[in-house]
Amino acid sequence: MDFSLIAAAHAEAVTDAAHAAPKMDPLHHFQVHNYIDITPFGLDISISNSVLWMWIVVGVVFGLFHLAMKNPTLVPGRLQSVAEAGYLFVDTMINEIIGHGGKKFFPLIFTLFFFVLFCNWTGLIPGSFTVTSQLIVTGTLAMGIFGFCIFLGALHHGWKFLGFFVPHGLPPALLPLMVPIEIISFLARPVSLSVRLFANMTAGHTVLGVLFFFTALLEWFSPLPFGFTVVFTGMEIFIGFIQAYIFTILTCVYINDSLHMH
Amino acid sequence: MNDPSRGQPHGLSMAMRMSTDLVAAVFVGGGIGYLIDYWFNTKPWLTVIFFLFGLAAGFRNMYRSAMQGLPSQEGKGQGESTRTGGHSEEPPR
Repeated sequence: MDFSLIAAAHAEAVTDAAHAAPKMDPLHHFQVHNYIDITPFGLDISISNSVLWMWIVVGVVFGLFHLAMKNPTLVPGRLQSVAEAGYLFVDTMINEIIGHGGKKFFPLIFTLFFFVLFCNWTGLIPGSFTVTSQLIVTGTLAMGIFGFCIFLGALHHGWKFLGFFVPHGLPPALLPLMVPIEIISFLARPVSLSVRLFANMTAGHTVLGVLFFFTALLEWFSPLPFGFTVVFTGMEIFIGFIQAYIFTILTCVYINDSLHMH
Repeated sequence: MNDPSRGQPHGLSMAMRMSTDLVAAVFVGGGIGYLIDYWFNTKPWLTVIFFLFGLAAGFRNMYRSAMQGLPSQEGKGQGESTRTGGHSEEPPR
């Protein structure tokens, strides 16, 4: 995603919007606002639009899979074969990356994949809210995975898990150089995991927002930006899938690193 | 799109992984350096050193994910997983 292009388009559109009637604000749909304020003991657990859309996503995923597997047949119907393909997809991913002993993480990775996937996809419905465009959501997911991997490594290897930071077959003279590098690259994992998903979703939806405002602003020229929105929506569906895929495949890689250290 | 039967990472997903891995490691390295500088009042030095460490870590991350992509192509059909884990240094067989 080219941020400078977006920024230029935004600046240009702002000057335009000063004259035209509709207000240009492509970041408006990322704003979180509370529907019901719940703040017991100063703890903010209000029901915001983010929370609402997370519930909707969970409901949609649960409902779809429930519907698909309600009366399963040996020769699968349309919805059932989609569900089975999704199951196989995650299963192959786990077998490829974790391999031995990866089966018990299937529920975690399956849930993660479909939650992120449908968060990305429901955000494309006009008027909806993209849950994964909030850094706090993706960051919480990534920190949870990060903590889980440390816990798993400590559980399986005990103190030997600290050997994770010492690469194989390294001359001892290089240790003071390599150990900080390894520690930084380990700490960078949750950051890159969360920022990647958040940045891709935010950038894509900002571009969509800008294009839709152009459609509204340019009167007789509007078919052009509108055509771009159509193309970009397709692109966003693809990006949403790819991002969910990367998120889960990296979770698999991290769990694999904790399980089989070297 | 990805063909589930192959399980081989898509080129685009690989590119996205690598770019953010690099940037994130540099930011984390620089951030750690800045924090230590802030605590010990050694203003510019540790930031610079840890920035370079972060850069090295970023490149190491990129190298590692590139190496992780390769064995799944060649190790296909060998039954059990022979992937090089995250930290093995040997090139793919």
